[in-house]
Amino acid sequence: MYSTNSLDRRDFIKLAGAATAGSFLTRSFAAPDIQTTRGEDTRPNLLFLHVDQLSYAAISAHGDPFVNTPNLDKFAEQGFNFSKSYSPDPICCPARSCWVTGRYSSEHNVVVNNRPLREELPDYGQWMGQNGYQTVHIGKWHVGRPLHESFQLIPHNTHPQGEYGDNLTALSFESFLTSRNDKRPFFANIGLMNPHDCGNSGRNAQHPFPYRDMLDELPTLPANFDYDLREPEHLKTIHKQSLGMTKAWQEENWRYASWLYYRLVEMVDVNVGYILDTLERSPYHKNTMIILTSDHGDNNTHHRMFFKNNFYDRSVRVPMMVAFPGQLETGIKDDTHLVSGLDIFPTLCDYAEIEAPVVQRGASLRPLLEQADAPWRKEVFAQSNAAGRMVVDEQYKFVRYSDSIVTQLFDLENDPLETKNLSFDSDHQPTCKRLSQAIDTLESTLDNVELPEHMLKGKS
Amino acid sequence: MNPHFDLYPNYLRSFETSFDPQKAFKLQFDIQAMRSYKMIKNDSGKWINTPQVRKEGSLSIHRPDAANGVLKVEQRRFWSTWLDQEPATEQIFKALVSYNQDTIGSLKQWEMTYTTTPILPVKSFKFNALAPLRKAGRVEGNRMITEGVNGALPHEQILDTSLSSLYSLIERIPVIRPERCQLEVLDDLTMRRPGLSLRPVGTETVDVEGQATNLQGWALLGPAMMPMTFWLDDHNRIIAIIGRNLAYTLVSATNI
Repeated sequence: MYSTNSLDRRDFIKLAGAATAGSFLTRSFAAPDIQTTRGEDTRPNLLFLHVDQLSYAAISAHGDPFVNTPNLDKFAEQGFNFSKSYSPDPICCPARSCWVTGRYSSEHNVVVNNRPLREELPDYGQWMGQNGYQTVHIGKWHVGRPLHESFQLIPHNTHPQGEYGDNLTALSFESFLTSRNDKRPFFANIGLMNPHDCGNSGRNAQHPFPYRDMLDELPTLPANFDYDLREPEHLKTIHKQSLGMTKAWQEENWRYASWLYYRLVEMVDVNVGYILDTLERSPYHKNTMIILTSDHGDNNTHHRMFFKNNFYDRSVRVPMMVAFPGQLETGIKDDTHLVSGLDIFPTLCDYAEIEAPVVQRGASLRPLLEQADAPWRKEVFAQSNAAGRMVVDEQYKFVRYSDSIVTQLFDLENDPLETKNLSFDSDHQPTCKRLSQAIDTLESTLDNVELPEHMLKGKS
Repeated sequence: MNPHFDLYPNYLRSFETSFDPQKAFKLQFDIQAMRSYKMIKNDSGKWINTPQVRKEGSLSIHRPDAANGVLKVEQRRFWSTWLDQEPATEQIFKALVSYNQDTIGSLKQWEMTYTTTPILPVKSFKFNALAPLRKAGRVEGNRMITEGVNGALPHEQILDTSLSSLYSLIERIPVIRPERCQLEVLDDLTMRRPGLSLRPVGTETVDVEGQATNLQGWALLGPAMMPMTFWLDDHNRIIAIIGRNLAYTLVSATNI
């Protein structure tokens, strides 16, 4: 069948054979690994597939004309697509630590990147392993806890640039799926890196766009590029740092940086498609519940900002898609319910038919997914950088920082680009007060860790 | 100057001897990755957050027979999360690639294995190896057919344009010096990136190991990828393929 000469062919087979003799899914002993006592375990497999730095709005299914994401678009049609989905803390480690514990950053201790996770809190890898699941982690983790304490299988855990790591993450998932020999259902925590590589885009975009015939393909600047300057002092500091690298920039540089971000979104879309396609063609597809989200978004020129770590929608609002072939309705766009990354742990537990840890700040999405007539929250909360708090209700977003006098109030229904801070408007003071009280009420229920004073003053 | 050369110049190598890309050859590249930042004081005493580059893998391409379009490829990549850590994991691709000797080296058939291997011990982490993944594929007309893995059914996809690969482009560009064309690339022989263009981007004179070196460039760009440019020296060697976050830099090129 092969058109190479025989020597090459033999060499290749020899090489491949040597590789096959390698080890086969040897297990770490560090993570809990309790076999279920039942007979055949028919509970669903759970695939939690996450990307990094993808805004809700930055995929073509959500109306962005500058990007083409056929695989994310397709997945959005295969189940539930929540449009009012918010990161619990729009930066990598804190958001991921919220996912894995179901607790707010002020409780799990990872209020900024690279702090340790509060020791006594169980994470979802441990929890699923203790409750009869085969647990595997592939790709980006970035949670303040060594992975071997959380998962049984860890083929690779480090996170290089997505540009050359995400292919390998997708292939490793395929390798896991095609070679597993375990009667337990699996919980796969699969972390793709991109479009996080946009962290380098600023450096790249300081140069003129090199492909001059494609200038008209550069994204136009968003309508909120010239933003409301009346920001909280805390945010102003972040904003100023972000603007530092762009002092000499012309419009073309901003548009170039945005163009690079969208290419990275498309790049991870290819990997998402590969993973979902691999699953779809496997025997596990019919019994696997899939959740797809991002830890946070990216401002991508909106409000004249890049990156994250703020509560503007581009930073804090993320995709949240759930599918379960044959079990859930398909093609459902949920524009009503406010959901959070904190809902992931309880949702996984619900479908795994196990109790979640006693204290969870989110809720299982199952009632929404199965369209049960159940009460649902009217407000969703987030934290940022230790000092920041956000609440979103059916119409408004309110933001405050412990080290800032100025607050923010945006009417998301009538001003979705967040161009006008209504907290200076006397007519909106009752709304500000109501939402600020909602934050206070939540805070009074939290089991917060003690943080150094300087962190609460916005200095990490 | 092309912005590529603000980051990777120290990693480029100068080659004086002639090289015939139409003969059998062996090429060896390092994979340089730009990741993580370090605060470095510049000449004026200002602290600058500076991107760091380091070797995180290698690519070898062996063309054993000039009479046909077949390449043996081995690509190793290894990395850790932070700059001051030792690499924790190694990924290895081994492949045979059969391709047409046309403008872009369009793919005919390929076979590959992919393994991920832990490197122990690294800090407190423990790892598990995954079983090798074997894949094979071929192109028939406008159809790409990948063979099943571990009993899975073959998978067929329709191609938009001719399908190429990094490896066959490295062989073809010095020989053909192509005009602008459309193509798609099978990244790592697994991920399709359709809708790309390959285009000449002119010449640059770059200081390579103290020698002013003329380089001719071809950019590969389009959706779902960061632009990458193939740089060809006056001795018919692709001495670097440079993207934004990584670069393949030629270490040796020999006719055999």
